[in-house]
Amino acid sequence: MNDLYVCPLCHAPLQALHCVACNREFRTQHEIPDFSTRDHYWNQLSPEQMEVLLEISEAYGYRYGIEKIAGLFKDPYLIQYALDPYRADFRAILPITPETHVLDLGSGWGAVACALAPSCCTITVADTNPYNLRFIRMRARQSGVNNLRAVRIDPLDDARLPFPDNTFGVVLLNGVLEYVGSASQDVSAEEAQRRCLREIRRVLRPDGVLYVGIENRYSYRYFMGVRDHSSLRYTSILPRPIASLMTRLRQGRPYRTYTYSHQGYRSLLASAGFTPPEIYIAYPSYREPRFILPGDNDQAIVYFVRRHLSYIRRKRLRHLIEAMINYLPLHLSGRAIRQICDSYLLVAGAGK
Amino acid sequence: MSLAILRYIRRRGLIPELSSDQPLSVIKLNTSTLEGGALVSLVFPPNASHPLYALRVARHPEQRQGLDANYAALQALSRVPVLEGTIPRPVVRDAFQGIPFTVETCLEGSPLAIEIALADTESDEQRLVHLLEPVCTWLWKLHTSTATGEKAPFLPSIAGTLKYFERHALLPTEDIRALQSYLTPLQSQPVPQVYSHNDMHPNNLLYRPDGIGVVDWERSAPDSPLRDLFMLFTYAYLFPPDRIVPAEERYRSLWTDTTPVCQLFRSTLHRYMSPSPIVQDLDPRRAFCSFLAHTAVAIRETGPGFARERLPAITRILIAETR
Ligand SMILES: C[S@@+](CC[C@H](N)C(=O)[O-])C[C@H]1O[C@@H](n2cnc3c(N)ncnc32)[C@H](O)[C@@H]1O
Repeated sequence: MNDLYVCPLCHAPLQALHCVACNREFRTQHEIPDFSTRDHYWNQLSPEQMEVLLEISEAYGYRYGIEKIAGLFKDPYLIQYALDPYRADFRAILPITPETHVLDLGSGWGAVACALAPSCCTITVADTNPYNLRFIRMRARQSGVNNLRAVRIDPLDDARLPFPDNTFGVVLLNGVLEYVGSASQDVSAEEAQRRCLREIRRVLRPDGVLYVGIENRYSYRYFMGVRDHSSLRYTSILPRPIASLMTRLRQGRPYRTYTYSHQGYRSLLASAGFTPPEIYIAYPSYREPRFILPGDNDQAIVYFVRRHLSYIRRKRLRHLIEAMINYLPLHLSGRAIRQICDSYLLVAGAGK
Repeated sequence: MSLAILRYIRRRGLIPELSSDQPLSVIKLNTSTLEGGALVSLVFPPNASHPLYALRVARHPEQRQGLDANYAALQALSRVPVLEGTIPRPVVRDAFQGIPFTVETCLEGSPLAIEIALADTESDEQRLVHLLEPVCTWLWKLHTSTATGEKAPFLPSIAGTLKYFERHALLPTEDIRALQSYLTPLQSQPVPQVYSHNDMHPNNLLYRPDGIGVVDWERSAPDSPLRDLFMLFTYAYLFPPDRIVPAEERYRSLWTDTTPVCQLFRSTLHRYMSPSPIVQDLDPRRAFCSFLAHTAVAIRETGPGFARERLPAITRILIAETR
């Protein structure tokens, strides 16, 4: 595995985790290079719970740990979320081959990384949470994955990746971009996301691609009152200043977990230098992409919806959609579904 | 990966219909129920109202067994005229950058699983019969046209299944012993072999007003003809997709009730049991026992889930009925 790192602050090559240029020293903790300069914690479980989980997973296996312990601490959905290899099925739309070097940013429990590892050359997982990184390393070791390395980084808001330019063929941001902005205050959330995307583009090879799996800001679910990342209702679809007012009043902090419409993602990616993305619709969601539809093909979208209409369990919603695809012209049905679907998968070229 | 493979197919001219330069798009289907199965995408040419091909891509370079088995089955069965139009036609088998893939034609239709779930939600038994009857007829066609005349021991996997139940303490020991005593004599009696699909889940069946389509042949192999039939009723009626139903009751009803679905089940079974080229001397008791065996295997394959929790109750009903 290629273990070349650069200083995340000045980009000079490191020698044994030491930056000669700016004289910074980085450590290794639990055999994981640590490039963080500040603390940031994002996880479904607390550090104390993670310590227990790590200990038990070491003794009885990571699967046992997740099924018996994580499932106890948190709702059972976490078990499937942390273990299910099919969550990485978005690989169908990515150019991953046995030669590809993949970077998984915000790697969570490693479900995606461990599922992809056998199909790529190397996979690097990077996260701010040291416990999760230890968990993923253990998971990889226990499941015989030997082309995975784990790296602790600063929040992506800071745009400080410790990798040389042009390193990766594919970079993954699965359920992560919406949180970029929430760990900083110095610039607007959108600017923090743009800064992070530019940094990702730097480490992508000229022919590399960025994959983003993320919610649609105007998902039909938000209109139905499902809670947004702010854990409040309707903040996603409201104008940002009003959403921010709501979170300030209720939680004492501004609204900074931005998602966008597909047009919004297009312009965000373009402003960071990426080529116009291919857009896909994931059903039921990007977290669990059982079906993936080409976002730009109205025929295919309507074909799929017609064929799978009965999967929609809410009767009123089903009838509404049925009426729509039966009476609206094809391009309008396609557009409507594209605007209100739950989530998008975006694949954008580095375009260097 | 799918789009890169399609570009490769075009470059090599492997499928003449796809050789224009217009962009193709794909729909990735849900294949998470296929253990380690391939990724399956439907290929949409521009301006088409439905997809033309199904592309299967191995998840890992070395994971090609399922792909190969499916493709080989389609090749073998494409020589059976009565099945034409009901199964995909094999088109290409190749590898791209070390990743094996196959292409077959895409069959029209919507997954029968969805239709069954709807009929079941609305307690529409007639509709259920209307959906299942063509499948029963199709199975008969498949089995009669592929019967080899050879016989093989019955259900080799039953011993493994019982061991599995024992190891996971899914059944009380006395029930396992009872099952063993019913099933062991069955095992020694050879059964005529047919080509069995072996994964008769309604997700693998496509519904069209004018007939059905059957996909996903990776598990197909020579087997007892009853295996497909029992599997169909297990997955389409006893554990219908996405639904929680009182399965225990349904077990008994299949053998005794006069409702349309139960009658369809018994008349189909009867067709298999009457002297025919493929099943001989299968009396009702043996049929029942073998149903038990097939169900046990189906439950094992369903893995964790409500079928497993219901196993003890279901088994007791079956054992009581067999006495
Ligand atoms: C919703 S999880 C997604 C996990 C994983 N990608 C998956 O799909 O299973 C979000 C992940 O992003 C990380 N994360 C959250 N905010 C972040 C930030 N500002 N910078 C870097 N990583 C962040 C968290 O530590 C967590 O691992």
